[in-house]
Amino acid sequence: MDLSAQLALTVLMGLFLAAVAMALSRIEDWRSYTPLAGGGAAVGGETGYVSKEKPAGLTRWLTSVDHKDIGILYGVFAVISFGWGGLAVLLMRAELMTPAMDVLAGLGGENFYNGLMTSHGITMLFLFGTPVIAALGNYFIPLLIGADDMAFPRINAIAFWLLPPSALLIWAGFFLDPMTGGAIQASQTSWTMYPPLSAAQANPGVDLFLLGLHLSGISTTMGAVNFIATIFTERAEDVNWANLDIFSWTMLTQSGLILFSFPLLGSALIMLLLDRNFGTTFFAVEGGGPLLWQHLFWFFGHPEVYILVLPPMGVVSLILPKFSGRKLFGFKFVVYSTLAIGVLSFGVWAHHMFATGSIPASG
Amino acid sequence: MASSVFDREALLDLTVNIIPLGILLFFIAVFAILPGFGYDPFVTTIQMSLLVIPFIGLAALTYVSGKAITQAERELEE
Repeated sequence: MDLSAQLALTVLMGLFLAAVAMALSRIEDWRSYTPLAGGGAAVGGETGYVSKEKPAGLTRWLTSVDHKDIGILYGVFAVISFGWGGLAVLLMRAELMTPAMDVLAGLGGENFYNGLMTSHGITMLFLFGTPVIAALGNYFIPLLIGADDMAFPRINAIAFWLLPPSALLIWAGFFLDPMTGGAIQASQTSWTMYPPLSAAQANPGVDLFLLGLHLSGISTTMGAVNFIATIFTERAEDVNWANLDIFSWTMLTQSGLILFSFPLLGSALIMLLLDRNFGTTFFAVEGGGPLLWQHLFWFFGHPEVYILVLPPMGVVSLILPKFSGRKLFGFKFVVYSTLAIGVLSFGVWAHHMFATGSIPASG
Repeated sequence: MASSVFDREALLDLTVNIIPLGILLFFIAVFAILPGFGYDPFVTTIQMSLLVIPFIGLAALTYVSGKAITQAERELEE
């Protein structure tokens, strides 16, 4: 099928799905199911118009600075990204069922597989993992600590709205490949983007990918600043450091990790972009060397895994005791050790570099 | 230990962070006495920094957070 027919079908499908969504939203008052609706439409009547400051409909979702709305936005975005990353891995696994290049043969073969590999990793980590944690955090942290909202509601909103553009940039190569006849392809650097491959790959899709990743890092850092400020300054009178809930502790530690590691990723990405486009030699053999990227990347990369795991561990530590009616065993141990993880995780990045051949003990 | 700063219960809670501090101290001592990879001013500085800086960071964070939490506990009791 040629490109124009594909585009036409895609647009028609989009219109159909939009019609389905509109029908579903009118079938019944879905908001009546949630007690945390804030007493809006359920109380005021059928219009859903709460007040001059809180409009309804599309305007609400595009302009809201309410932490619950932003949490929902993060969640919806994360689920969509999960779909993309999941589709990528399903395609990869289907291809790997047999040794020959068969499933992806018509879609671009080995290069397409490498593009999927790259996109799956980055999407799952930066467009699903971190946003879905931000969704939970934004929705629940103010409620848990008795705050009105996050400390910086408008920064909260812009932090979310940077994500859709960054997703489009990260995925741009896939869209532009058929449109430019292969001149711009999906990034095939793998999610760890090691040079020399990432510096040498003459594909503008890689630059778009790197820019999108940088943008998502800015979004995450802003969110982290917001969480730190909120947990430090917006606690209610009766919530202090001794009775702060465990989820807030892990979100606080995670935000500290983000604050100190994401700017480094951004810097490394800028260095790579400079190497690719302005002839610098940060990661060239005659300059800083390819190993420099690995050090920089994994100095970010190890805190990154704790950024991803600490809040879910906080959720488990919060939910299991609540639902089983037991206290968390060693609550203060968990708090202090979480903080310890925050500090110690910055010293161990070399354990991601055993394959470099420069560690004497491992050959 | 500085039992004037933290009472017995607080010290017990802080044990969880004393353990990694102890491990770091052990390796600082061992590598200071028995250099495992020879001595080179630059390399050894990096090697020891990777032990000393986390030690200082963790000790500082443990102290600050310990003080904040024990202080808050006292306020709750009032």
